[in-house]
Amino acid sequence: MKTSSYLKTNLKERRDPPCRVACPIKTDVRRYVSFIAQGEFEEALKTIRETNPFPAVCGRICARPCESACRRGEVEEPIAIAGLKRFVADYVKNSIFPAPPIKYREKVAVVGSGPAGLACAYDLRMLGYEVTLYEAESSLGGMLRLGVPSYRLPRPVLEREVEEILGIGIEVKLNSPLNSSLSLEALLDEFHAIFIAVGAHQNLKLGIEGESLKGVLDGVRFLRKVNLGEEVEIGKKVAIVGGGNTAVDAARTALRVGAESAFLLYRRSKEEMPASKEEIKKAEEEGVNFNLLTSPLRILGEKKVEGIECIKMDLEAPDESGRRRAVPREGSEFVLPVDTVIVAIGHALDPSFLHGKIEVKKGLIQVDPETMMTSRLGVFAGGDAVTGPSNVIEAIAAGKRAALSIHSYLRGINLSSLLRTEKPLESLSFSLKEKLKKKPRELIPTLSLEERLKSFSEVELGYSKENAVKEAQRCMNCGSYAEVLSDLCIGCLTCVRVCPYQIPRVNEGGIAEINSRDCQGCGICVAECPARAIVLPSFPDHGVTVEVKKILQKNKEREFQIVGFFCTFNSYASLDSLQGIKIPCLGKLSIYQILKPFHLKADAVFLVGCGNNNCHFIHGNSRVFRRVEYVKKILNDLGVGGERLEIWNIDDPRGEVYQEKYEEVKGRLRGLGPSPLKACEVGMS
Amino acid sequence: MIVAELKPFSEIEEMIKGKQHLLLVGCATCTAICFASGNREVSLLDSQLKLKSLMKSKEVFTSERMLKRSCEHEFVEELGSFIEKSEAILSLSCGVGVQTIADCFPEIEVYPALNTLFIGRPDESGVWKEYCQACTDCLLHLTAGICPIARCAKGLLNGPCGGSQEGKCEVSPDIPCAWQLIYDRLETRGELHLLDEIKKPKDWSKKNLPGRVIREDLLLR
Repeated sequence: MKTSSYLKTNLKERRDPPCRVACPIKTDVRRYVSFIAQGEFEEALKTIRETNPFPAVCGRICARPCESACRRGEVEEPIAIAGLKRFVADYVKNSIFPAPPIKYREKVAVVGSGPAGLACAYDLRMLGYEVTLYEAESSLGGMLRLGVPSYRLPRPVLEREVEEILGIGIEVKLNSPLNSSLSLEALLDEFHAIFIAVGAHQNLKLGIEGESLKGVLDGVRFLRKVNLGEEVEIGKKVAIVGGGNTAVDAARTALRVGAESAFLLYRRSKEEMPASKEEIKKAEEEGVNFNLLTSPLRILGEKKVEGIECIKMDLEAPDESGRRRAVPREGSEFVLPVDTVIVAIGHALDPSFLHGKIEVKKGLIQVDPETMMTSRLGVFAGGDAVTGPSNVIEAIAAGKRAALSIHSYLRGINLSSLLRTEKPLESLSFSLKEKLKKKPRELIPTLSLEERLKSFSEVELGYSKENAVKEAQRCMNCGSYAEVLSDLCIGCLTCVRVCPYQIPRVNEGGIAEINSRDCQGCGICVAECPARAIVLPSFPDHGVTVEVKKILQKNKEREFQIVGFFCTFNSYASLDSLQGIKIPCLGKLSIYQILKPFHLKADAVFLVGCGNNNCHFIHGNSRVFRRVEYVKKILNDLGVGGERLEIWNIDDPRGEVYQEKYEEVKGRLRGLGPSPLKACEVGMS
Repeated sequence: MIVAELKPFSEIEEMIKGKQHLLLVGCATCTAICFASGNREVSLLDSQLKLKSLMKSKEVFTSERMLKRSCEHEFVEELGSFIEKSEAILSLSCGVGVQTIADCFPEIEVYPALNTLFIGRPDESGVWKEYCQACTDCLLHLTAGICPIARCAKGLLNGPCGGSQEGKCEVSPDIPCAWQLIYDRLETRGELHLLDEIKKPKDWSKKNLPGRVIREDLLLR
């Protein structure tokens, strides 16, 4: 065997799913999506909350880097990860967490209650520190409350989530801005570490003529007023300058508070707009006019705004950094008659409250990028105040990282030992993409256009249980691939022959290799390998045994002990009435796994496939039908009786057929009597 | 490869009657590839034995071993430390393997769990067919690479016979007529003249029974 192939088969370095790697807080996306696919919603929410204290918020307004990385997107469309997160966050009502004990004597102050501050406070409290949260305003949430419109994030949702975070035992001081009466020094006297996450709330100016006219509004302040329920004065024709989320939010909000038309002016094209694509699409649906490749020259008017003079821009070819410079097109000036101009070209930190105690450059607090510590020992900072306007998930990530860094600072632990390094799976190979079944994304229903513009009601309505399960079933479980145990492999070619995707190959050394990048983890080769030389770490043998034992224990007092195996990829996967073992495709079940319940003295075993010739893994369902026939023969030979084993394919969203079938099995058992193994006294492990 | 299959369970049951401590020995070569003696089939037989013992309320103690090749004594001797506790060995291998194990451990009973069938190959997943009878005098160069000894029901050297109908053998419509296959392939190659010469009866005296090969250059004694 050549050394290169030897290394290939012997180095078992597992790769991570790209969604998880792309997530700034490394949420175990694959795991919770797979729980949703099985109808295990509470488990899904628990998984999300292991890393994210804001599931309902992120389910709505996350920038979704996970979805951009999702390999399903290479086949047709990425999994609607945020939509699924929102579904479980809304669906699971009971998610109260007990306050963890205070383990350490050091106290930490967090300044600012936006997503960065709250996430940091939450993680520090979970680690066992006493935390006090200082907030300048009279309510918590930072930009989530003041910046994000309620049609994207309803306030009761935000409030519930904030309450849950505080519920683990975080002290809050409202109306407590850092200023002369509450100085950094005073905090440093009381606390061992401070995290500053005050955000960036100061609007940037255009710096053009007419900016001080009546009718020119500051985007951040405009949103803040609307969000706090204050009166805003707005005209009928509104121009919004900028291309980020604040600009799009301001445009959509303007239409909801009385503007008849909204014109969004952006100097580049739609592709370059930093706002989220979904929000841009919704703004278009709601009638926002996009004046792209347009730059304002001056705002016109005597005392109040009467129009805005603009110039058309051209994009140059991309430079070395890939950025396309916008240049004005000579002679293309034009006037847009408007009565209101909202400036939303960015916002920054107002550093005056720091009184020069901490280094600030260009409106951003300077920190060590590794530790997030500022120029002051024990004072950390993160979120928009450090990075400039970003998004909620980056803010949460900053808060979480700061919590770890503060923990490492207070405990003297090496920070890098607390961080997880990851290696993402490569993209799917071209030939595999062709073989995968196309399954379009489940649409997330939205409010009708008419309803939207009349109010601030939430635009996205969220998935129903059935749609969420169906959407989650599209997930390819990237990274749950099979592995060859080269010591056991006999190079028989079985895996090469049975794989529905033609992934395995036998190398020059006569040993099978399975490409981790493309393997879909269907488990067919694992069940069929005559040498038992292939393993699927996500589906270990003993896992099934444990589940079988649980079911038998649960049904101990019943008339018969019946064990059912269900395909997870099924119309009825989320039904509560089903009692059985959920298997992500029955093609994974080996002959001994099917026999196992009989060893444990079950009276009957049945398997329910996915039906309708619609196997998620192409051949999994048909393979298991053949295995069942083989096991029936074994059971007959042994005198146990093949009729105690059954397999059906049913497409049964309401579980009615299933109930009938179950009764049928019971009826048959009444004729057959209990398992002949029950009479024996010898125990079986 | 040597193709084998598991004996009917009732036969195995009969063989091991009265034995409580069994060592199941698989073979990782030919018969593993045809799903008769690999890890999977050894475990499956073990599982069946245990189920049966449960039904009879008579406990059976089994252990499983896998040999690289059951037909070579160096590999088989590895079993030495495992046989002490066993009353008998149930060998999942071709007849050569069973005999090698029995030769290495003459003091213990060795039972064949498989029936050895033929030298053949898988034509598709789950289907094995015979392709060679080890006649000791290969003539495949004259028959377009298709063996009439193994694949013609009559083993004719000069075929086809009158029983060849529409390319199928009269024995069964599932068996293609080997001589029709030979004719067709020779025709495509333009070598039909190879059929002009009548092949004389094979010299079966070359097939010594029992067969043996001695390579003087490889002898160590």
